[in-house]
Amino acid sequence: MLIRYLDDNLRDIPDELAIAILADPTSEEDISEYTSHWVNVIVHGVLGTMFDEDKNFEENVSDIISKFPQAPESRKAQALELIKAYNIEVEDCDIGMFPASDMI
Amino acid sequence: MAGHPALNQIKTESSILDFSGLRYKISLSFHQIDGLSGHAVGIKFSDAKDSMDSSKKVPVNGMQLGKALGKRIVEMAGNLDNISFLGFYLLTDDIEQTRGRLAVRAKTRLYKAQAVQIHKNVSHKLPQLTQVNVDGGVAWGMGENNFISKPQFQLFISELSKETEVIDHVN
Repeated sequence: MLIRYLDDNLRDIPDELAIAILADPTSEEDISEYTSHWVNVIVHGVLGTMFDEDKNFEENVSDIISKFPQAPESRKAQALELIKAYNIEVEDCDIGMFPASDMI
Repeated sequence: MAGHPALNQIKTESSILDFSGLRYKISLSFHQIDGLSGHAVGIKFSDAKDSMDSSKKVPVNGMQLGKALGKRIVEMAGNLDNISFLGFYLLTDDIEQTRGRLAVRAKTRLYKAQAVQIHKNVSHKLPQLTQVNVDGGVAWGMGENNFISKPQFQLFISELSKETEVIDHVN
């Protein structure tokens, strides 16, 4: 999944990371209802919050994946569907870009 | 927390975050509560005009904003001496009406992520992180062990007189 990194460049993150964030079993809502816009907001907002600037990109990816508890397979499958829709629907220029009022 | 009769507000501190040409305000309100040795501190996010409305239409790098907000709050909270409780809330009623329930859920996710991140930096002092789901909002609190069983907290919950669900061990 393509994200807009802290340096404003687009970078690819493993789907496993986006799935871990979206399928987070400690949040109990029905994730299948999320639109691509909110997938964009959630993934970037959570990544920005959790990214440790003292570590490199790869270390951060594996650290953040490991911080989320395992989600049920069905929830992970729903998350993957959200990612597929995001990949099709979100234009490169909109990746990781949204009003602050969507986050705060 | 401001305005609650049992929560005497004694001072506020705020910090302005300049980000992509926009200004955001992070305010800490300090409260003195009977039976608590240190202060209870509430965190509030807003734009510099005390609402988020004026920033509505300007897209920003969301990852940068998440990082910048988190860093500033941690800086502010990290320097606090003499605190017994630190918390913030998301009022969901307005958001649900104006933006819909997906916005409520997404923001709840992001606030929770910030709560977990802030907690990492204060957990040596305030080991317990708790989420309280209230009718009309969600709150996160960090406090001493077993603070949810303390009378002050129970009083606060009962005076909300709304349906509440206390979720212990958020992470």
